[in-house]
Amino acid sequence: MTTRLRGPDVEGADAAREEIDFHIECRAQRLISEGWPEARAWEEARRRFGDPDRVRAEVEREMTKRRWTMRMRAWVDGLGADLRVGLRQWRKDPGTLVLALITLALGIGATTAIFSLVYGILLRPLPFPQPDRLVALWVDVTERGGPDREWWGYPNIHDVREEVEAFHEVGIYSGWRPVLTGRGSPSQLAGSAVTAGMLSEVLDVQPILGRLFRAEEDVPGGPAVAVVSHRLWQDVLAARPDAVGETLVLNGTTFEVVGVLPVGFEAPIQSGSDIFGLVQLDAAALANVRGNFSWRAIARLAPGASLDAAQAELSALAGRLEQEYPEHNTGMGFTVSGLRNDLVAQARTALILVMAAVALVLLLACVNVANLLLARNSTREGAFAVRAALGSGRARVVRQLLVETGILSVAGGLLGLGLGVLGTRGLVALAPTGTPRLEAVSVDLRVLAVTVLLTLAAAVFTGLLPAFRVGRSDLRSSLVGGGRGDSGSAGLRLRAGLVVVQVGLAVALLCTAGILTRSFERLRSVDLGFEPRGVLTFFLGLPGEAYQDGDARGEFLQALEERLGALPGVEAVGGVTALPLAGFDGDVDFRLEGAPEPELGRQPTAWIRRVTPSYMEALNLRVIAGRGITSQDLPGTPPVMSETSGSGTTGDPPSTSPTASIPAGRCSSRSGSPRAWPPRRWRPPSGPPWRKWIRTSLPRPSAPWRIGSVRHWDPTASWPGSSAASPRWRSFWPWWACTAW
Amino acid sequence: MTETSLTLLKGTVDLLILAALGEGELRHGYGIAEWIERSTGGDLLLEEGTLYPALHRLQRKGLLSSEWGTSENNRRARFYRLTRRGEAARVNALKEWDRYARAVSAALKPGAAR
Repeated sequence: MTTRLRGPDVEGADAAREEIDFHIECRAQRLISEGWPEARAWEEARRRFGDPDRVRAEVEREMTKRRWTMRMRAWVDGLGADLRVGLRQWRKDPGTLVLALITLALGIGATTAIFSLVYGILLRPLPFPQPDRLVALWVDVTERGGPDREWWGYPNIHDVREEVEAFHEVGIYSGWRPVLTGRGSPSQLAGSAVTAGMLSEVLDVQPILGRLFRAEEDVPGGPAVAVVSHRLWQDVLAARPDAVGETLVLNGTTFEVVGVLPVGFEAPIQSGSDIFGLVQLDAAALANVRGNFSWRAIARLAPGASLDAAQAELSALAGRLEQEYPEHNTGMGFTVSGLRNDLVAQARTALILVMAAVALVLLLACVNVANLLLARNSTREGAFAVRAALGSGRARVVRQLLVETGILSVAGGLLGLGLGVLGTRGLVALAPTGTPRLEAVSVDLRVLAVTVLLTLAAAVFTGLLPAFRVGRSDLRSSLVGGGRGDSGSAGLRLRAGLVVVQVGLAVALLCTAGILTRSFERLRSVDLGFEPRGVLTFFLGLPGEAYQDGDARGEFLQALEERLGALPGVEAVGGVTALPLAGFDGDVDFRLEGAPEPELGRQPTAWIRRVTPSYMEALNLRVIAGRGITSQDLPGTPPVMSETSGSGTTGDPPSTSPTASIPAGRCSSRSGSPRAWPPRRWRPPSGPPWRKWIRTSLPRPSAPWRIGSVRHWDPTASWPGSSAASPRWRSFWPWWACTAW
Repeated sequence: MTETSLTLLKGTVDLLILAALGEGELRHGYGIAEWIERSTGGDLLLEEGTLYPALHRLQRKGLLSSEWGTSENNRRARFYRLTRRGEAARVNALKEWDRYARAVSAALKPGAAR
C-alpha cells in the first residue's frame, strides 16, 4: 500500500463487511451458548441485525463523507504550511520582494487613482433623478464664424422655454457671486441665479428644510428670496432647524432664506454653488439683448420625448426666430445634447488616453513582476525537483507558488490601494480649476472592486507563469543541472519573450510621453500676448452700499493699487474684471468707426474686460499700435482692442482706429482651444464692482502671506472687500502654477 | 420479554453509544449492543445493524476514534472509544436527557399540575 502525503486514509467496503460479519457471528455464538439450536441461532442473529446490505451502504456513505472532511482538513493544513513556507521564502529574498512590491504598488496605485478620476468624471451618473433625461442647450454660431456651443441671449432662451414642448422644463442660469455682509467679516459667496423651475423641475431636488422657488416669485420686482446649500446652512446659519425665514444681506440687499438643499447637492451647472437666487427678468424688456451670450441653460426632457424630437423642435424655432429677428438671430442655430456627455466632452479623449496609458503601465508592472518571479524560481528548480522525487505532486508545487505570489499580490494590492487613495486626492488637488465634475471624484467601493480584481489578475498572471514553468520541468535535467540557473530552452524562450514585451511596452510609453511633453512645451511657448511669469492674482469683492457708487469704488481701487505697489518686490499692480484665459465679463456687438455696416448676422462681437490704468503694465501687454489705456482715460473714452478683434473685423490697419490694438489671447475662447472667437476689448473702468486683480513680481513663496495681509493693513474698516482675497487666491493657484513657470 | 418492546426514539442510539463508551471503555460494535441489552434489562428492542452507521457518523464528527484489535474470541474486530470531545459530549448529552426525561414524565404523571 502506498502512503500518500494527504494523511491517513479511510478504509473501504471490506472493512464494513468484516465488522458486520463479526457482529452476526458473535450474536449467533451467544445464542448457541444459551441453548439455541445452531440453525435457529444464526437465523435469529441475522433477524436481530436487520438488513446487512443496507447497513453496509449507510456505513460506506459515512466513510465517504469522512474521507472528504479529512481531505479538506489536510488541504487547509497544507495551505497554512504553504503560507508559512511562502513567508519564509520571501524573508530569505527581501530584495526581490521589495522590488516586486514597489512595482505592483505603483502599477495598481496609479491605475486606481486614474480610474477613480475617470469614473468620477466620465462614468458616474449625475446625482439626480433620471439623469439621462437632463440635457444641455446651446446656441450654435458656427455660421457666423463662432463656436458651436455659445451661451444664450435671454429672450431667445425664454422663447425656447415657452415654446418647445419636448422639454418638461428649461432651467436658465448664470453665475452669481454676491458679497455677504452682516454675518462676521464680509465674504464673497459662490452661487447661481436660476429660473424658478431649475431646482424643483429640472434637477428635481428635494429641500431638507423649507421649500424651493415658486414660479410667481420669478418676475421682475419679485421678492428677494434665496435657497442655500447644506454647506452654507451649516457654516453661516449654524445648521439651525429654524433657519428658514432668516435673512442674508447680499450685495446690500436683504434676502430671505426659503429653503435648504440636501447635503452633497452639487448643481452640475456651477459646481460649488452655495446660494441660489432668482433670475427675475422680463424677456420683453430685454428684446435688444437677444443676440447676447450671457445665459446658460439646461433642461429636462418631457416624458416620452426624445433628444431628436427636442432637436427638431429647437431647429424649427431657431429658423422662425431668425426670420422674426434678423438683426439678432441671423446665422444662429440652437442645439441640444445629453448633459453628462456635454459636461465631460472636452475631457473625455484626454482621460481615456491617460487611462489607456495607465493600463499599459499596469501591464508593464505585471510583466516585470512575472519576469522577476521567473528568474527567482528558476534558481529553485532543483529544490522543486527533489520535492517531486519525494512524492510531492505537481499540484502541490503549483499551489505553493500560487500562495507565494498570492502573498505578494495581497501585500502589493494593499500598498497600491493606499497609493491610489493618496494619488486620487493628489490628482483632485492638482486638477485645473474648471475640470468638470471634479466634486464627484472619490475612491469608492466600485473603484475598490476594480483594484481587487486587478490584484487578483496580477496574482494569477504572475503566479501561473512560473508555476507552469516549474510544473513542466523534468526531474532528471533539473537534478543533473544541479539546480543552477535556468535549465532548458523553453524557459529561456519564455523569459526572452517577456523581455521583448517589456521593451515594447516601454518604448510605446516613452513615445507617448515624448509626444505629450512636446505638446506641453508647444502649449507653453504659445505667445499669449502677455507675460504670465511672475504674475500673481487674487480675487476681490466690494460689498454693500458703501461701494454702490463708482467713485467710491474707483477711490478704493486706486488706494489699494498704491498700497500694493509700495510693497517691496512689486513691479506693477493692476485690476481686471475677468482674468485672461479665464472668466467672462460680458460681450458686446461693435463696429469700427468708418467701417461699412456689416451684413446681418455678421456683426463682430467682442468680450469685454474692464481694467484699471496700470493693468496693461502689470501684465506686460504689448501695444502694437496706438496707445494703451492711461489714467486720463475716463469712462466713455474709446476702448483698446485686441489684435484678433481688430483683424477679424475690417481690412484696415489697426492704426487707423482711434485707439491702439494690442495682441491678447490668441488662445482665446473659454474652452481654451486656440480660436479667435470672440475677440476681446479692453475698456477703461466704469460700471460694476472690481473683481480681479493682477500684480507682479512678488517672490513666489511669500506671496500668499502678503496678499492675505492686505486686509490687516488698515484696521479702520476701509478695506472691507479684501476679506475675500485670501480664499480666492488659493483657488486660482493651479492656473498660476501652470502658466507662471 | 415480549416482541413489542419499546422502539427507540430518534437520536437515542447516539446517546446509548456515548453512554456505553463512558469512562474510557473500549468496545466493539457487538460489545455495545450487548451492553445496551444488559443495562436496559432487555426492554429496548434495538435493530442491531443501526448501531454501525451511527458509530461511523460519530467518528466522522470526531466524537469517537476506532482501531482494529483482537476480540475475546480471538477474532479481528474494530474497537471504538470516546475522544476527549466525545467524553464532553457524553456528559452534556446525559444531562440534557435527564432534564428531558424528568420533564416528560412529570407531564405524563396523572394529576400533574396544570
